[in-house]
Amino acid sequence: MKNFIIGIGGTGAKGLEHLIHACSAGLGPSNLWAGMVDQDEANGNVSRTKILLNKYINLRNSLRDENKHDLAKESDLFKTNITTNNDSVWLPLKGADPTLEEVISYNMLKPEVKGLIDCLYNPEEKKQNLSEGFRARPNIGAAAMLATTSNEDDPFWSQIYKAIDAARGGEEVKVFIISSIFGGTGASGFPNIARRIKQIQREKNVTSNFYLGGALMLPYFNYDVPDENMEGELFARPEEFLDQTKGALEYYAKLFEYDKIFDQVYVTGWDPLAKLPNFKMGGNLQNNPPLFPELYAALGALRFFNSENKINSEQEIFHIGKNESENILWSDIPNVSGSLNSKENLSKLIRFSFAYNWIYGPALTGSWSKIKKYQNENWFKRLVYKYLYNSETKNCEIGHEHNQEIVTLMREYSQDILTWISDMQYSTTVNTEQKMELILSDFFAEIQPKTSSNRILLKEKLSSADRNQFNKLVNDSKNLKLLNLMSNICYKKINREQRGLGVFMDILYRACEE
Amino acid sequence: MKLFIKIVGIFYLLSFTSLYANDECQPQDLIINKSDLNNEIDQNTATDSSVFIYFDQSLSMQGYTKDQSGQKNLYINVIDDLQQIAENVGNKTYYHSFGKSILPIQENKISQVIKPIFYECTGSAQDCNNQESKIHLPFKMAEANPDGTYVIVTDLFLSSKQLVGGTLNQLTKPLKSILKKGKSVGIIGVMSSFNGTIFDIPKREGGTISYTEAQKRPFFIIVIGNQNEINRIKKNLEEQHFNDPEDQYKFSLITSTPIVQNLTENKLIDENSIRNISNAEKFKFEYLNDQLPLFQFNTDKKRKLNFTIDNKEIIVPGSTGVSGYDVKETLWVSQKLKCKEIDWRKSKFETISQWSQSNDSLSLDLFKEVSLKKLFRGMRYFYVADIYATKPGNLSEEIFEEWSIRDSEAEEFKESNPVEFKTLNLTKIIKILNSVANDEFEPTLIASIGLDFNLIK
Amino acid sequence: MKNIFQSIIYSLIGLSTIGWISVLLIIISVSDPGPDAFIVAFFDENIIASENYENLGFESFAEISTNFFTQLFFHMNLTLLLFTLSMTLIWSVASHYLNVDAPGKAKLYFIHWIIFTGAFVAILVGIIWYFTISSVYSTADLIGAGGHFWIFILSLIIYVLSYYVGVLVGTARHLRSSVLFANKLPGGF
Repeated sequence: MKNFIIGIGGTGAKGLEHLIHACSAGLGPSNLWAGMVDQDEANGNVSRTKILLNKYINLRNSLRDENKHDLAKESDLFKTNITTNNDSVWLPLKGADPTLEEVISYNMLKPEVKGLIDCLYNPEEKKQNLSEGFRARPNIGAAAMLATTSNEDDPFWSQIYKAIDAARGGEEVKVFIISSIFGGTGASGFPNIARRIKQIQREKNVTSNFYLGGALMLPYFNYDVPDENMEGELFARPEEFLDQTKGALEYYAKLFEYDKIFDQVYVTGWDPLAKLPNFKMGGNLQNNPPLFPELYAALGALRFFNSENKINSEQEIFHIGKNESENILWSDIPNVSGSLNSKENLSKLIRFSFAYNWIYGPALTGSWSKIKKYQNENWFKRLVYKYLYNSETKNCEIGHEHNQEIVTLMREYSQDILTWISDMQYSTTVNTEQKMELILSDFFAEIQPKTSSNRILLKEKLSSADRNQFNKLVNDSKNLKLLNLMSNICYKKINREQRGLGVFMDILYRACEE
Repeated sequence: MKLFIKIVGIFYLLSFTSLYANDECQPQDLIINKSDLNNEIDQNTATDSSVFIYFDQSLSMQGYTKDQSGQKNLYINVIDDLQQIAENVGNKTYYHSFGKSILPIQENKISQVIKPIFYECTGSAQDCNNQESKIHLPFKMAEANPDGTYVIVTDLFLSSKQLVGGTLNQLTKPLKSILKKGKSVGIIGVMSSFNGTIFDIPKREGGTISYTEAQKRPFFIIVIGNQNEINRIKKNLEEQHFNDPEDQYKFSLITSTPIVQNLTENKLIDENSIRNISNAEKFKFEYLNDQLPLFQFNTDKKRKLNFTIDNKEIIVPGSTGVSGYDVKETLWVSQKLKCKEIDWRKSKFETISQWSQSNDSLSLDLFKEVSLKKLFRGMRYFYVADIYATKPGNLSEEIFEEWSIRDSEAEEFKESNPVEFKTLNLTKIIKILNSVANDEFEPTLIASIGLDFNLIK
Repeated sequence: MKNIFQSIIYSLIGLSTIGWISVLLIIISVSDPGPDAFIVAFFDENIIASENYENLGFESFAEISTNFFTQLFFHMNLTLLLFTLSMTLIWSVASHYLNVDAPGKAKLYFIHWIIFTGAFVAILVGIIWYFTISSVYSTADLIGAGGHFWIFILSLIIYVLSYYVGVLVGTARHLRSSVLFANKLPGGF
């Protein structure tokens, strides 16, 4: 089975971010190709997701190497083999500072066509610099995308073409798109990319084994636009989101009635809207925090990809929502399938990240002369020393550079997870009456609301009082303490197929369940 | 219901009885020793109740018959009553004088004994009986007829030459015989006024001198016979004549049997004879087979056991006493505590306890040598101790010491013009008499005790 | 819980490597060894003060050995065995609850183990004293001064070793650094 996921626009990128974390917790399919579509090349969210994607891929490649470090097939950690193009982002309009006029070669159009264009787009829209996205103008985005999606040689679109070919060859292929229904890139990309994919499918006469799914994000956040310096600027106005949404929903209703584009659509929104503190028109400053509804989109995608998901011939539209109270609970997170419990896997991942970042990662960091003090401890002996021992040099190679790279990379990834979950929890409910207490983060993270890039600051070191709160890290009924963790890593059975650092990583991950 | 109560009552009584049934389970080889004391005492009962009184007729005695102003003359008083006292002791009384020989005194002449004329002699020195005191002569008479009681009144002023060689033998031989027959010799010394001459005081260079300035000197009443009679005479004299605190008299008993009685046989041992034993767990005291005082109890190892005998109960007053004892001890042990299962083993311990003596008492520190700590708890022990008096003492020598003067010191003493004159070689005489008595002394069982105890925690 | 059960079983196996001696002694003593038994002769020669009972008229220790073995020796060894077993299992179970929550912490509990072991040995000595020196058991009087020494030494060897092997293999894996030489055990054991 081949799986493809496309995140369109900022929302799509954020959805992809959640999805990557969910995949590192073993909620994803065995393989997945990921790509993003955003005209705003430097979009902060897209960049963040790009970096995360690279980290995931590097880490996974390091820890799923049969010859060196192997988590082995049975491990849930970094289970999904996520691949992407060299550049995971597809820009519909390439080139420096493209405008709509240039894209459609306005000057070369016949006058009557020009007139039509003039009716559809005002002069600002025609001359808008599109390098930072379509500024919540799906009409612009739609036109731009339609003009550029038919290039089979494009690295991005070649993946789509290959996917459809594979389906024709008998292999099951699933493609999923995440996007917002409002805004610019997402609003324009979602229907047009979907229709384009469907078109290619029909052109190639693929009638089976190919499935298209999508997660459509209704408005779920809000922000304040400053009055100064915004005269004449095109930007996404939050007050227009609902109108846009209304219009889009009417459009989709008609579209789905007329044509079965998607096999499954997952629709979600949020009420009250999350209040984002910063407004940025675009670029790397548009770095919105991860929000809870995006997790729904990611889980919807993973559900779509799951082998237990039976796709009917009729188009299905799923609504995802939470409980009616103001509290957001773990029970509001749906399972990916009957056998994949999202809450358990995610909480395991969070615990793993915590333990690795502050407890075990530091112990494994450094040269052998620093690390060797643990060589008589059971966990080290059975999980690290034995599997990193070089019988020729008669040394344990944990201190070697290539092993230290993996140790460090994992630590960074753990920090990313902790930052992600803490930020999501904070940002979703800040300045609203909602409460989200999926985890307790006060004791290991500081919130810096005014900083967009480092909103969450993880503590460098934890005191023993902080560490003792580990059992309260995840707000569930499990009272898993660090002591239990240590006991578990000493007793958990080692998978014989595992190698190198994969042994320790997997045992530590599995030790995070009770 | 009544029948039921009766049955219960009988059952209870039976069990109570059996609970407290006598626990007779002493060692099979237990021997309860008996002493010969009572037999001896029985044997000492005189068949002949004649009393023979001998008065020393030597000239040195005359001074007792003359009053000395300012001094009490006990001689006259005592001798005056001696006849009465003697007749209380025996059926017949015979009076004699002795000096160079023994001469009978007619009854009508007895009263002259307290007069100076009795001691005078107008005849030649060879014919007179007042020139010397052959004290061995009455002793010889006593040896010949041991059944009688003999009273000798004398100043006992014997020089050393009279106490050596054949002369001494003349005294010691009959004394030995007398003592052997179970008789005793009581010496009552009385300090009386004196108004006369003391002859035969030895000089350092030889020869003798006399002294006339003495106002007091002791005379002696020597009684040979049974201890009962001696004590009776002594008692009579005490009651009748020695009432004033100023009256000085001394008494010593020369005997080969300074032991009064066997305490066990006379059942004088009771539960208080061992200190603090009666508060021991399961304490019981009885005379085993009516013979052996048996202390039954449970104890721990810390208990101190001390058996005490008052000297007055065993030692004849005025006698030499006892200076040495021997304790024959036997200890049996059994692993089983109950009589039915008991299996006594005789231990190899020979010396288990330790005796000690004070002026007033004899003390036996039980299990001093073989401490209770060396024994094993959880076992039952049976201990028997027979206490023997093995060595006579020398108490009586000390009694007369202050009235005694040696030959070598006599002249010097005389030259000091003493008012109260001492008796020559008195201590030596007592010593000689004692040594004869001690030779005849035989170890005597004075008491036996038994302990039957469980050594518990 | 599964790990705790595993520890308990390992402890029992470890204990039994040397503890079988104690069981053997208990069985022998409770059944009254009899005059010809080796243990009676051994005790007579090395433990019992023979002059004490010889002076009392007993020819050999065998005549008075019944109570000694069926009460004192049996009770003592049973008590020591049960106590050793309890302490071993207590440590093995408790080792799963001691707060080793991070690398490098296990060795800090060496002090706890030393104190626990010290208390164990002290109580062991106390138990032996109770049976052989205090006044509770009357047959303790049979033991000579040299015998006391041997009883103490041999008992300590048997029971302390049993305890040590028991805790060596029964201690929770993550706490092995707290027990002397336990960290030399293979990681997968």
